[in-house]
Amino acid sequence: MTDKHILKIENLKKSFGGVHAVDGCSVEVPRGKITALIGPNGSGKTTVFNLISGTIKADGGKIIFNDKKISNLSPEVISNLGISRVFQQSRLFVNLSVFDNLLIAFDNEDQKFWKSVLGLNSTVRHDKEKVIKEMLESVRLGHMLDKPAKDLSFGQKRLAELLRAMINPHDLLMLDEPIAGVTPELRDKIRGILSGVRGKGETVLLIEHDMNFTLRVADYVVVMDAGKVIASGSPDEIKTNSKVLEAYLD
Amino acid sequence: MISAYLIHILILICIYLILALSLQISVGYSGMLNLGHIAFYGVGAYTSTLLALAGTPFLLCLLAAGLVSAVVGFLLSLPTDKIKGDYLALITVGFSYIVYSLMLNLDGVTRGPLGIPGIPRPEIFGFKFDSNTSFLILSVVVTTLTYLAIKRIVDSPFGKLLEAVRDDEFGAKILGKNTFKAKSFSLIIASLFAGFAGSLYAHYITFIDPSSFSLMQIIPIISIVIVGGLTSLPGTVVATFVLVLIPEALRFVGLPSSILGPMRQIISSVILLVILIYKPKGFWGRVELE
Amino acid sequence: MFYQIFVNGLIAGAIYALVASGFSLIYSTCKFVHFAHGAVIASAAYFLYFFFSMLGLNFWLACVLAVFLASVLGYLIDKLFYYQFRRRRASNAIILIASVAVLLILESLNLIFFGADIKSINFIEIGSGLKIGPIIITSLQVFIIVSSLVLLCVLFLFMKYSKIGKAMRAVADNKNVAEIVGISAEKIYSWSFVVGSFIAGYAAILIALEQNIEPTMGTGLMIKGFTASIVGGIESVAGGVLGAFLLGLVENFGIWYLPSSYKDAIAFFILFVFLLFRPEGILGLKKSFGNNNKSV
Repeated sequence: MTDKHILKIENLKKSFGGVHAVDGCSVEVPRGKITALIGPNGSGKTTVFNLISGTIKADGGKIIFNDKKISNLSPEVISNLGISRVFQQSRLFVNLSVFDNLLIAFDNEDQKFWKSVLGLNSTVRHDKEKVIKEMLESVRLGHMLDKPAKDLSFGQKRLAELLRAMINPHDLLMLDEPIAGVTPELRDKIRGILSGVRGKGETVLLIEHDMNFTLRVADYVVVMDAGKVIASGSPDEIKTNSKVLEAYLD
Repeated sequence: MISAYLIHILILICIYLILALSLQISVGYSGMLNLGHIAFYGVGAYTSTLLALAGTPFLLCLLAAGLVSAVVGFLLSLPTDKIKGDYLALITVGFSYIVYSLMLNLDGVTRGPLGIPGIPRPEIFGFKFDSNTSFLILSVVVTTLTYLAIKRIVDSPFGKLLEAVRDDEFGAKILGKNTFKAKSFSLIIASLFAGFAGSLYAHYITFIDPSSFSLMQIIPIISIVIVGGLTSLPGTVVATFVLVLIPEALRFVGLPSSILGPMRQIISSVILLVILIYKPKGFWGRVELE
Repeated sequence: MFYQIFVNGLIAGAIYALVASGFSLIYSTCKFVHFAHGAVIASAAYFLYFFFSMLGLNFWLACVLAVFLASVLGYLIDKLFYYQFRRRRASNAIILIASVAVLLILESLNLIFFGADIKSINFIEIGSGLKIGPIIITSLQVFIIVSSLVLLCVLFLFMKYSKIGKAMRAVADNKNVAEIVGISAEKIYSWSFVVGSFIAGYAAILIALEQNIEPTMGTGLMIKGFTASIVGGIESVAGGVLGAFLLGLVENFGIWYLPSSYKDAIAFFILFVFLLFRPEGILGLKKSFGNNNKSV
């Protein structure tokens, strides 16, 4: 009984002081596709992201995920409901190894105190190890497996976080500027990963400023300006939409 | 004569080591600067004492000391959801002071500043640990078990969760982790072992009074954790030996006892300051104190 | 009875306010916990004892010297210790531990030079209290309340209108912007220690007269001081003062109902519960505390 739209945002509002960062924003994110949220700086995209993932609380409106109202729930609850998010700034656990960073994302079961201490999860761990090694090899990071995350370069961190978010059980993957500041080579790698993700029928919602990348990768584009949605549609429709051009030129 | 002294020092080293290892869980692995750790130590000591004087067998006293301290540790964990960093450290300082103040003032229970004498040496299955040598063996066993238990905990996935919460609590929440529960468990475990240390101490010295559990007693313990290095359990062991033995050396300099006490405090504090300035990661630390 | 307790609360509150205001001033300006503030107070009390009771100097001269030396001591602690940490961009947690170590060093020095026994300042005779309506209060206690309020008013005016006071508030608000406008943060940090320790010295005199002097008095005062600051809102001096009077009143009303041995515990219990629901304090603004709070 899954809805065509995995995420529905209705009339979302959030103000900071006197600034209406999000001012009556409504969006429907289709399941199984890559949706891009774009707009000029200050249009409210990151605020919407933060509202969805529970980082901040909304002043008004509703967010519905998988038919469940998630507005104002706490971040860890929302994550466990199936939303996996990557931030603009790196949130890897810097003193843990790359391996441990990825392993911890699999589930919450293994870290339970008694399970851990009594060693009740050693068999399943073996399978997880395999998955992690394969994923890291596929992006040529296998050699960094046991190094502390703080030793990774910027691009390597981006990749590791993306992988970690994919390991984290999810129905929706939210990426906040996944290719900001990365080399062209890495950009293509990430585009490849996203295509693979879409190929498996997963849903992605991303924010990006790079128009070329976005219009090539996305199936569906939502454009925001001044806290509201001003246009939505396929990349081709958006490319020629006059309102969008106006918003960017202003 | 000297070997008796050595045995005494080794017993103290064991007790300090248990305290330092348990504090490592809080500070090194969980990133919580719990300067109130001594409160758990004191609660354990008084619990064990009062039970022992009421005729309870030693092993039960030891266990109860740990459990009661663990409850206190849980209480201290309650504000950690919203309060972190140096602010939390302040709260733990206040907490330590209040526990000390209660020890001093509830003289119906604790006999206040007079303290409680006559605590029996441990007796396990008929064997009485009267001699210091036998007590040393008991201490070494308890300390070794503590080390192994703590090592097991911090190397386990739960330990990695604690480190994740330490490195980026919000990042852990975004992965769906219940960070409050993790921090709570962390404090409960730390206080459990500190409680055991308190019980050992009480049954060794056979006399306790609030002065052993004042706020300032945290300085030697936190020094050990920092000098040894955050998250390094072997480092903690080495640091315990070094930081207990150095001030002890002062005994042989021949200072009058009224000066000896404060001089040792000064030396401990100066060592801590020097390490904090020049080597804040300690000697074997993996992690910075944030 | 109520009025007596209320007045007792005011007396305690006045003393806590002096302790808390100096501490809050330093915290809000420098953004780290100067736990050794309590030891500055204790040392100032010992300075007074040294000049007045040991050397036999004129009382008022001894007071001036004690307060002056307290300011110097505060300044030196900052320059010798905290500055080293600022230079190395140490975290607040490290500075806090360091300040506890400094407190211990000062307390130990006091112990060595003056001994562990309790000292008192015999300047004012222990006369009977004045009876004003339903309350009994000594002239010293009246003096404590009045002079605290006077000093706090002077402090308020200083912070609001003087060049240095305004600079301190600027640095407290946003150090980087303040530096762009030409304020030397280092100088202001030093000033906050001088002013804060001056208040500490002042507090020390009143405490020494009203109570006694003993080597560990600094710790207890500091606990009360930061409890007051946290309850009132640690980011502002006004918060510290507000919290201090509240603390004094709560403590004294608390022991009306409960045995006096719970006095310290009552205040802390209130703090604890308070923090579960409003960690930023009464006047406070920020919601999340201690996180990524660097002093530089």
